[in-house]
Amino acid sequence: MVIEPAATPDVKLDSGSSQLAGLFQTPQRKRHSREGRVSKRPRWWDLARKQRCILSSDTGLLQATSDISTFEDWGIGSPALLDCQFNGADSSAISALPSAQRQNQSRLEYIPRTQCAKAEFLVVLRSTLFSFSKLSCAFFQRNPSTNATNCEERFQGFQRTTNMYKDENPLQKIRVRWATTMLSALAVLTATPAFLSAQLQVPIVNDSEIRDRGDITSLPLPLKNRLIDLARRPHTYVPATAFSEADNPSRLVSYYLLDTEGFQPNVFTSKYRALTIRR
Amino acid sequence: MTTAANAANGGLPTIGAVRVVVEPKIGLPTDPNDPGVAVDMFTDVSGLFVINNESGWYEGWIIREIRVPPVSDAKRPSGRALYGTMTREDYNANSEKGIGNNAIAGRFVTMDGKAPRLPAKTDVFPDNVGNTVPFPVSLGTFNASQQSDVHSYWEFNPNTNWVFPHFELPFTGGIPGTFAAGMVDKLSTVLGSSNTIPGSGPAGIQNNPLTYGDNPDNPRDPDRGLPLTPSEKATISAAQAEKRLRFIPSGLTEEVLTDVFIRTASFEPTVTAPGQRFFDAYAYEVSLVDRNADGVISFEEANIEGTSDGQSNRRLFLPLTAFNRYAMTRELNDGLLAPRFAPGQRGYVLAGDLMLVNPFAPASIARDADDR
Repeated sequence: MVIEPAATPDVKLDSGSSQLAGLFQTPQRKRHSREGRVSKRPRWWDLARKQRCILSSDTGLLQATSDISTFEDWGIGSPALLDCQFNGADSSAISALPSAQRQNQSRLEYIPRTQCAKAEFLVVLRSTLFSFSKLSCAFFQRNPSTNATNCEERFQGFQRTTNMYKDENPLQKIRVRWATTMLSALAVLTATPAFLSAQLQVPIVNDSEIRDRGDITSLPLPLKNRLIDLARRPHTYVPATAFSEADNPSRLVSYYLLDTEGFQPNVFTSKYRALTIRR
Repeated sequence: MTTAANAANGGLPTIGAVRVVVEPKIGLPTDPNDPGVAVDMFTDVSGLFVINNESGWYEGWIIREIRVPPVSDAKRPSGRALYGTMTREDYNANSEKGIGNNAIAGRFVTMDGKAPRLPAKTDVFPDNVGNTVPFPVSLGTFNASQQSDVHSYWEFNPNTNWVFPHFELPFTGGIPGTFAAGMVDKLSTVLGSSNTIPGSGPAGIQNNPLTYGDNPDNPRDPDRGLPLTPSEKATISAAQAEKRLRFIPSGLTEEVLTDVFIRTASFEPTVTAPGQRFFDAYAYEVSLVDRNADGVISFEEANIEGTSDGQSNRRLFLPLTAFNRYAMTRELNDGLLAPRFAPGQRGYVLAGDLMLVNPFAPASIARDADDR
């Protein structure tokens, strides 16, 4: 019996309420500042949690449009980061779609993980700098619960609250900035090994190592992409190598792409998530 | 502790792939529609946690939904249907059931005679589930590694294309109502002995554990099959093949299920309880191939190059392409060879549909050290 692959018409993923968003967006916590205003910015530990999430999102990358919230909204914006954040989904997110809705996969383009790794590094670096700067400012201000959005504001707040810089003492100002810079440098040194450590959890595999491997290079594209996806994820071993057992190479006659979508969710698939589609 | 699929690696969806490749060995067929073909199957999965306790395991299965056989006016002397057919009386009975689906040759058999409905995400056990009649061939067992990835290798050939004894089915808990009826531990009671001794089930022959049990001086080895290739035949004796087997060839399993659900007029028309029909059909179909009447089908008795019941044994093995879907289950040692909660989906962790490849693609490198 021949079962043809599902038809592939056109779709856009609604990342705002999608599985992708569920995976890679930490819900933005609303918190109240001292003045009673509601701030959309997360606290630094929210960012740290988000970093971990991103660092674990090593999977196949999808290039598509999205209205996902950016890090600019969080005050540490980076366009590259936006791509990385959104693209941290793999083809399973697409194959997870009901077949009737599994549309135009071909318009969703895979991009190499290496492009994303750079942005991930920026995430760690920027947010760690941000956190340390915040801490350093908090140190000077002695009031970590402030709603100031950056060090400069905190510094101004520091001036206002202590009235210490009424005379705009340039020397003292330089000292404070120097201290902040040193702490930021410390943050860089801290962030780098943390980043490398996080990367070690996900052995970086060059896509070509899998795609061009002799037993994989001639396989149908959906199967090949799935094997690349598997290799990009955290793993102890890359997909198994198929060895010949005759003078001529073995021949692929069929395959199965596996997921948890084709049957009733049960206790063994309990973290089931739905993926929605914008029509 | 989280154990489920879709929870590993920060909650990434669990995904996988199974590659099915034919070995073009000298002396063996290379057409995947030929049951004599030698096939390698590679399973790779990301996102399943290791199973630590009670010797649990993951198990892969290729699954076939049985199909309605053609009608034949020829019958056995007993009035029962010939292999792979149904009688005119069966046809008439199936025409009146549901919408008559089970009277249309080639269609998926359904338990209610209505249009086929395969398992789906929208199923709700036990009241709203698929109505087809599936059976699986095991692709072996495996576990996950530290990073929640799974890699498994299995061989499909006439020595492995065998299926668990379907007299186990009423005792898996997967048939609605059987768990509530306390059936899950009743097989040994029905058998009067352990299910680990090969035999043809409650309505068939039960064997002496001393001659058919796992003997420490001659351990059972269901992997010790017949030599298949010319080079194997030149060096390995067929006499070494295991005789104490608990399972039966896939084609014969389809006959058992056809007896139960399709041959309702020609096979024990007065027996309507499905459980009893399973017991009786299993014992009957095994007896047609079992030359020494021990209730067990050995590799030698089912040799694909031999004969039984006046026909080629090739009929006993379904080709690779007859299996239309795949499922992976999370297993516990319940003493059954059947999938957990068979024939349902309550033990599934992954599933996928068959994708045929045309033209065939080269899919191996270098050379295996053994070529077995």
